[in-house]
Amino acid sequence: MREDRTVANHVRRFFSVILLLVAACICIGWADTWEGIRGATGTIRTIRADFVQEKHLSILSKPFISKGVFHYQAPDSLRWEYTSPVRSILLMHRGKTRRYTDAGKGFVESSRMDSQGMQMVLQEIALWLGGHFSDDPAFDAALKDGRRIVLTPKEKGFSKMIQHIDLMLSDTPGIIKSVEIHEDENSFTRLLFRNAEINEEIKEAVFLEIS
Amino acid sequence: MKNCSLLLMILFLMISCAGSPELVPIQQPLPLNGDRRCMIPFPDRDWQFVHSIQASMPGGQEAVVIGVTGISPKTGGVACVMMTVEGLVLFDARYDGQMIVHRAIAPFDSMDFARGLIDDIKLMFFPPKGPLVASGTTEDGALICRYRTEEGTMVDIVIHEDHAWEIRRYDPDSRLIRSLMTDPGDRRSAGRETPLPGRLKLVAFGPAEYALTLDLIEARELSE
Repeated sequence: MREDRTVANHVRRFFSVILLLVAACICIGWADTWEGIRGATGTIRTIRADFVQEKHLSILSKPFISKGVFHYQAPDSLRWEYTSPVRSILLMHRGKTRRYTDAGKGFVESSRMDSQGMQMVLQEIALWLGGHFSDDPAFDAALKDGRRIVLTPKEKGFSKMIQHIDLMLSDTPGIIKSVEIHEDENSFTRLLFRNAEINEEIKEAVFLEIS
Repeated sequence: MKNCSLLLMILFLMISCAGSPELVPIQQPLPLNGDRRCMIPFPDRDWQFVHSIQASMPGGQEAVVIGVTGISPKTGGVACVMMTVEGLVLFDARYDGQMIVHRAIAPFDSMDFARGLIDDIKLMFFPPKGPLVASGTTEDGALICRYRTEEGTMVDIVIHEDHAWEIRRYDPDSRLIRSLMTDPGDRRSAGRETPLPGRLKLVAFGPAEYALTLDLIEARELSE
């Protein structure tokens, strides 16, 4: 049981990193200082965007590609959906979190999620969407030359799972070139976001139903 | 209480073992000249596979992960990465005569897990190491080749008329401990003379039973 929690913790923390990047993709690039970012982020109510996830592994001759779409509505609703090659949906709404995966026989709800842990993730999202990257308890954030932001885990235990995260910003405000989550020398994940729509209305059912 | 638990565990082990099917009888023996059809399941070149893996664990728990497997039949080498759909690597290891674990997150961080995983991969993709001791046909007309491995286990390779196949491994007491089946309905050629199975189902019998359903996402033959 303890081991189950360990995996759940790692997955949850990894997911929290992805959510951080969602926030980052929208928020960062509007300014070159933390103060500027904070000032620019207060108006976000909803986000919808497509994403492409490239998994780079030393064992792989070419990256493994997954695609999907996410919806976010402030303060605590999220739908993170993989559409290919494996369909998987995470729904978070009003403090409840559910996860479904389709392994070829239709969507099946996954085993219990650590609700207390997910609450923590949501608190972190609120922090990030408020533009408080430099106040994040989990990561040290550094603005680098060349519109690059490097996030480094504060906890040694967490750094065994993720070494650092690199955000490469575009010259165009609000647009990010790439996000790379470096796990170790053999593995990193690149996320690319496309077709972002900000502050469009999203129906509540999106965060409640898998269809 | 402790004795009671022990008794239950022994009882559970007895039930688990007693429930395992025994060796399938060979109806029509064939000469021991090594029918090449029995090698159909095993690639003879280096390949890399990506599967989605649905794992059914004891207690009814289910999980879906992505598995990346690299095999090198000439050297017997295996590389394996297991990760979540989100891309978090849970396990990363290589076997080239000896095991090197690059990364393992609990509960996948024991050497027993690593050895078990590599053994399962070798069962799926490499021919048995040991002599052919019997061959023939089964009651339903399938071709069967039986090997005795170096570890004293028995491995049956069963090729059905539609080219679907099964691999069964038995312990030294002839109890079934692993069963691998292909889904005949979904195959991909991937440039190979014998198409690759789109789905593999592995069942591990015994005190810690589990079942893995592997759906092929990508297959790539690796050049020299």
